[in-house]
Amino acid sequence: MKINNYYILKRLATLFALDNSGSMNGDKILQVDTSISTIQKVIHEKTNELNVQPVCQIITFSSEATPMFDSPVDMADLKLDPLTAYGRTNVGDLCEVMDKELSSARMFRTDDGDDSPGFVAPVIFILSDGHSTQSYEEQKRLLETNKWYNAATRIVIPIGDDADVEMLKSFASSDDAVIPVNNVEDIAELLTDATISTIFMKEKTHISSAQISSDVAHKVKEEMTDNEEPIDADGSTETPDPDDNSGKWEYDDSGWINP
Amino acid sequence: MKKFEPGAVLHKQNDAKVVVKALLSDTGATACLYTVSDGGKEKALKWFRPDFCSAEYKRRIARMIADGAPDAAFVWPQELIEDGAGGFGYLMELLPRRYHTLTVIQNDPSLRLKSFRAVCNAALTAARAFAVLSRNGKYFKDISPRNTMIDCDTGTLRIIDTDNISSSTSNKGIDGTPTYIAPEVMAGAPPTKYSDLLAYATLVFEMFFNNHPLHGKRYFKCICLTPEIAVKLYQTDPLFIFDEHNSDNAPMAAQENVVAIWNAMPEHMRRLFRRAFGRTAYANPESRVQLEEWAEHLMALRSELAVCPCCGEENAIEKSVQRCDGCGTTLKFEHRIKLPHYSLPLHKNTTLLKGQVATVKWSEMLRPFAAAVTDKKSHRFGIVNLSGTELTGEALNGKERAVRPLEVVPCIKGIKLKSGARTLIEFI
Repeated sequence: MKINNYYILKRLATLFALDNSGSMNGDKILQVDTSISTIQKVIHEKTNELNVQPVCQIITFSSEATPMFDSPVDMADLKLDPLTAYGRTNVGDLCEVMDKELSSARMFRTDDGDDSPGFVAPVIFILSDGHSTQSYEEQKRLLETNKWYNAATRIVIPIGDDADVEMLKSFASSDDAVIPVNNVEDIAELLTDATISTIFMKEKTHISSAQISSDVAHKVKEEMTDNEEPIDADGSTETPDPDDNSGKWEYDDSGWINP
Repeated sequence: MKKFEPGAVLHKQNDAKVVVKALLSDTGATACLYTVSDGGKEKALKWFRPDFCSAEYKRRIARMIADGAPDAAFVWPQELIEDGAGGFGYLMELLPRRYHTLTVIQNDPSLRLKSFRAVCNAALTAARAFAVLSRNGKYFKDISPRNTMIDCDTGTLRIIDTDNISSSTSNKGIDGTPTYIAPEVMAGAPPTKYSDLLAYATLVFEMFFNNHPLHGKRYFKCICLTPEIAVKLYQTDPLFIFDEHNSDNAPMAAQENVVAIWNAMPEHMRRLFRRAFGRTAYANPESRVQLEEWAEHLMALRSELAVCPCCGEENAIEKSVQRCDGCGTTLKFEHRIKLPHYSLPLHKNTTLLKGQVATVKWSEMLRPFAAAVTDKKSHRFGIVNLSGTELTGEALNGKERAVRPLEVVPCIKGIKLKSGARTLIEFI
């Protein structure tokens, strides 16, 4: 009788959609770079404390949207060249590339065949400081038919006053999943906190994406405001409906079955 | 949340200073953990996030400190620390570095529980701790690998995050590992001793198999585990991976190690696990396996584990002649002992605990009673009295003689070891 030292973990895929249009130039893009490298460091240090195996893909979007890796990389080993900010904010292209990436052929490949442990519902972060410079409605409608997109906890981070909050909100899993950042120097801390909190909470697989978004937003606000009253303290917080944004699929051994 | 820098000074209630040394962890949902120096002694400080700093919670911690730990396995709050601005935390023992949470042990291949005997030790200690807690009318509510710290070499187990413990059956504030939460609690019922029983059973299974009892094909073949599917897996349709009648959730090929351990388990353990994770146990909380029964079987298994002299692999010995699971060597056990409730082969690693020979209270159950010894000259087996009290040996001719602590009784068929008129061990 031999001790089994091989604990099989499901994977958690996190997709970062990072705006690298011209308006992000300077401190904003540097803050994003810092955040990604901090996230890698924290996950690397805490890998053994996780009950999921975190992998990630990064899509940068400006005049075009580009996935950074051929296939998702282990977040503990994530290495990133500094991002360059240039061009416009093509949200339509982002929708198209996200739809392509959020698929069994790309992010959710199961190369290990029958022995694949599968995934928990993914997490998507969308970070942007501007308005879309192209129409995106059609591509977004298509994206909204993507089952991985629908299953994901989707957190959006509008940066500064010029960000199109309403447009970004339409990508979020719930109203609570919109975490605005007003000071450029807070971007790295906020994105790092939100990612780490989400990854740790994602172990709680019973919790709906709305609940996770709400918890993450709450925790990040608490961290960022250092116990001061939250900026939107006078606003009422709607109780998230756990079923409002997650698919209602029947499940069998083969994985997905659409409603 | 404001974090303390190394060197920050806090004050105990008697105004004595506590100096922060380092941040240990800041990923906890309710608190951050620091190492501190308390009068030169290194301790751990659990400092609560503002959301958890209610007066009620503070009173509860203060009451726990006043009451003291119900069992030595619990890492218990020792002293309350406040910052004067509504923030508070408590000091507790800082465990040595050889202790790791079961989560870390599971995920780090360089760490592993050294032996199944160590697993038995850990599982038995946890059973004792939770039994004593339950006797005091309290529940842990959050039994999980994250709250369980183990010394991999010995199986010495400590339970952390003890501030979840209360006699309240409210499920408010439960922030545990959902795969350990009982179906009825997931459905909204308050936690009870029965929900703790299911979490304990899950913990024991994970310690032995390094696998959740419900994580078989159904779990792994699910390409995307959504919250809705999780509800089915853990709440509305839980199916044990070794269910006798339904193989829908059987282990997949990559779980061959789990299957190998299952096949090597003695039949009484397999039956126990099947009961603990059967549909009845999930649906009917009162039918769950009690801690006393877990202890009975774990103590038996602990005595059944014999190390193969050829390859060093542990084997659960049920028969007097058995092949080693590791190298196939035929293992022969000449002697057998009969205990009040069962019999087992005697081997050179056999140790018996008090709970195996008599009905004793939990605090006594895991204390040593006897162990096998070998005479170096004759290579003959005997049993040494480790009970700390004088026992009685009955010879083949019926004559009795005192067996004082550390005295050895020779292993000869028919000889008995007794306490008063009651036979505790008989060589058969």
